Amino acid sequence: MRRLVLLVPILIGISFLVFGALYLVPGDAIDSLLAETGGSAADIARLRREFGLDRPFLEQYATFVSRAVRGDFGRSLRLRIPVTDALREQMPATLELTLAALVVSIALGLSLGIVAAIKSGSWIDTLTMMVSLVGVSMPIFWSGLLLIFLFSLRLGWLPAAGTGGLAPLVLPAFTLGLSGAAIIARVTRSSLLEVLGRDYVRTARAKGLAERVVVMQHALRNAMISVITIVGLQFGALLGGAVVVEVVFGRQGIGFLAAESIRMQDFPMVQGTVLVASLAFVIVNLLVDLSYGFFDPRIRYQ
Amino acid sequence: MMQRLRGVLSRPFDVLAALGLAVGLAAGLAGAAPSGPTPGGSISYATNREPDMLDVNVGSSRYDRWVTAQIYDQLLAMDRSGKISGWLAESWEVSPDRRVYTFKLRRGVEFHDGTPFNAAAVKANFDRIVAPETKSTSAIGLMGVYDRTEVVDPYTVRVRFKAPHPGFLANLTDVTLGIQSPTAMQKFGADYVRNPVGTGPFMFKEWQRRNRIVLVKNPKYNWGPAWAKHKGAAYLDEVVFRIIPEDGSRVAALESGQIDAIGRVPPQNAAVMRVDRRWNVVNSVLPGTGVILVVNGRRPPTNDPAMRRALEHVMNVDEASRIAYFSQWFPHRGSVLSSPNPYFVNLSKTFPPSVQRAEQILEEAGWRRGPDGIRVKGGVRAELVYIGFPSPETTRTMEWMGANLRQIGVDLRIRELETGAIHRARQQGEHNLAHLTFIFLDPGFLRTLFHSENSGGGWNFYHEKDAQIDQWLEQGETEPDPAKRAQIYANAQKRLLEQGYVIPVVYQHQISAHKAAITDLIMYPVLGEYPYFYDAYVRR
Repeated sequence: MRRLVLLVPILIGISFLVFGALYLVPGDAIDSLLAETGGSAADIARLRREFGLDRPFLEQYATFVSRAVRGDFGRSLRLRIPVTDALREQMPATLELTLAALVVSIALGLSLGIVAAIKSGSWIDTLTMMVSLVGVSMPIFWSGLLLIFLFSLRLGWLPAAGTGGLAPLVLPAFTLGLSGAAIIARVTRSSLLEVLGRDYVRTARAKGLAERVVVMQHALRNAMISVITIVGLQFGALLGGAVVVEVVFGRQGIGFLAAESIRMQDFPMVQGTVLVASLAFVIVNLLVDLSYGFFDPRIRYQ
Repeated sequence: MMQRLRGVLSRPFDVLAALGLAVGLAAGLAGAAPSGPTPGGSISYATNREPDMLDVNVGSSRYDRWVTAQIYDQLLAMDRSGKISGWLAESWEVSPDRRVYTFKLRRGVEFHDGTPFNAAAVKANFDRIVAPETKSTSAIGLMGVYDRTEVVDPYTVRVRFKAPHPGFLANLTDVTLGIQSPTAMQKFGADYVRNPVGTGPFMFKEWQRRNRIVLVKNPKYNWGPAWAKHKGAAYLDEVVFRIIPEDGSRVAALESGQIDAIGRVPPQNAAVMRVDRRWNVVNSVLPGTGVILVVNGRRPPTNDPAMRRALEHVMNVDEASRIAYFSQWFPHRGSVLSSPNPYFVNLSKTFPPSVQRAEQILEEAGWRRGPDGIRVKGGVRAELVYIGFPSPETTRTMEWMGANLRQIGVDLRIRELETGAIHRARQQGEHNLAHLTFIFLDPGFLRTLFHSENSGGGWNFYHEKDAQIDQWLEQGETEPDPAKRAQIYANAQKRLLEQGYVIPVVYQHQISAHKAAITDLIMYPVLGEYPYFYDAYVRR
């Protein structure tokens, strides 16, 4: 509960940083709005006045905060729709993508990590870790284009772009999930190896338990703590990666919206997307903290 | 056989386009026996950017118009030759001083929501554009010094301006001055931006942001533009716009059959797709500035007229078109306005491309090579800064130009930044060369780009105050006599080139690729940037 209350100053701090950063960037929303159609100096001055962008920084920020605390994030300067509406429209697609990617990265990462740990030192281990090194190093836009090339163009199995339904979700989820899977595989392998070296594992084996039971029931559960922590942090990385994936696959989502809004210096929209993303990140990490208790009963929360 | 035929066709294509015609290089021209238009069907069309909104009074994005052009009609229409004819207005009268325009409106036209189209609807639109709470970004720029609109009778409307506005007729053919339903604007208020209601051949159905915009046929439509191929309702039942920002993914979506047609085909892809019988590639030249480089007349070393003249000789538009645009975007033969514009003047003989001549000019002006091969004069190094948006085509152009400049002892630094940062840097004159391209019909817009009042806080990036150019641009904006007006703009363009403030590169193009079965999907005349689905049908 205390942690939830702490959210408020965190979010206010974030909003001030974002507002300040956008203010310091050269140019403003009007320059971007008129970038395609141009405008005379008089037009620019008129629009700046009409949008209130000619007011001092603190006054603009105060106006924003006083509205925001009442749940009114204003209208996008560019799209002219309420920011909350835009977020509501885009959020489901991003959640869908990040959750699917999370599933992919956990499933793939865990199984690869376990295999590598059990077969530690063998060629399987080396191969798995090399693949995961490639996965970590490859930029998302590049793996995305490669997947499109293979599965949409060559094989024609999956659509290259779009939102809605399962088929257009597969490639983006794998693109985004692969980089996460690589990291999770490495962490799983190293923490599992560490646990497998412990005394109680030796005891379990000495009792004559099947190797499968030893690994899955005794060792893995203890190894999960560090894996879960990484998964929580990965969620933030996935949100960041969603920006790129959403662009490459032409998907809906707040990542794309945030990128566009930053480019256009559409500050109400940037505020909205950043606040929602930070909120999601903080909440997921809260959940991660709470889940420690499940994996390690020694951890209790008051 | 097909392949060879299409190879032959590509020559007249160049010639036609140079004449200022947006031409569909239709495989249909060379293709199967024509079967008549068949009603029904749907086309999905992918573009690179989503519209901001579908309210033409308010918005400014060029990408809005891909959709709004299907939903709204304009008072007037312009055909490919530049001739203006009636559309929602049947006839018009203009006062000799070009301040008062009277339009007789077409009867029996209805908005998609059933609201009758009449003089009050026109007035509601024009008044809304200039209202401060609308915060109009683009349409307001086409309205000149607007005074008021009077409803003379239900089908006669009179628009008054406080200063002569000779560009108004041409501007009325622009989708940006399309007519929206007054009832819907009233009903939706600020949310009209995503609830558009027009009189056009297609009606708005739904918009899933970042995914699709769906339009359906307006069955009552019977008032198409004079240049259209047929009358009555559109053939297609449905048009679906999809957004695929990444160029490679967009081309892939077409090739895999997921999408029926795509816009903004990159020149290198267009060059390949043109000879592939699966696609019709439609290449249109856009009116406006074309792709030009604006030269800063204030910042050294381009404050030296000799340096600017040398740059003009270094630019070789034919090579630029070939190297940077794979010959799909054609060489710019004017100085500012591109060839589909009635005010285009061919100035290609002014500075024949010659690296030797450029070198000679610099030598005569006292620019001497330093130890590193870069010229110096009076302590100033011949080092140019280019500031522009990152795009493969402009980057290739500048790299090619940089290599040529090296030969004559001039160094070029390429700075590519984000929109806002570029703009501020160019406003403050941190560049020697700035890349620019704007689409517009009436040359009155040149004032925004080249009048000294717009230097520093606007879009004038040559920054030098040239009283002669300022004067012409002021006169041109209000000159009622068409012949005199044409002369004024010819003079202004000639001077901008001769003074070396503008270096033309290529015309701006929009290349669209369609499945071969799609017929008569044209690019909107004369603006040429977006498809017009009214005549289009899918051959079966």
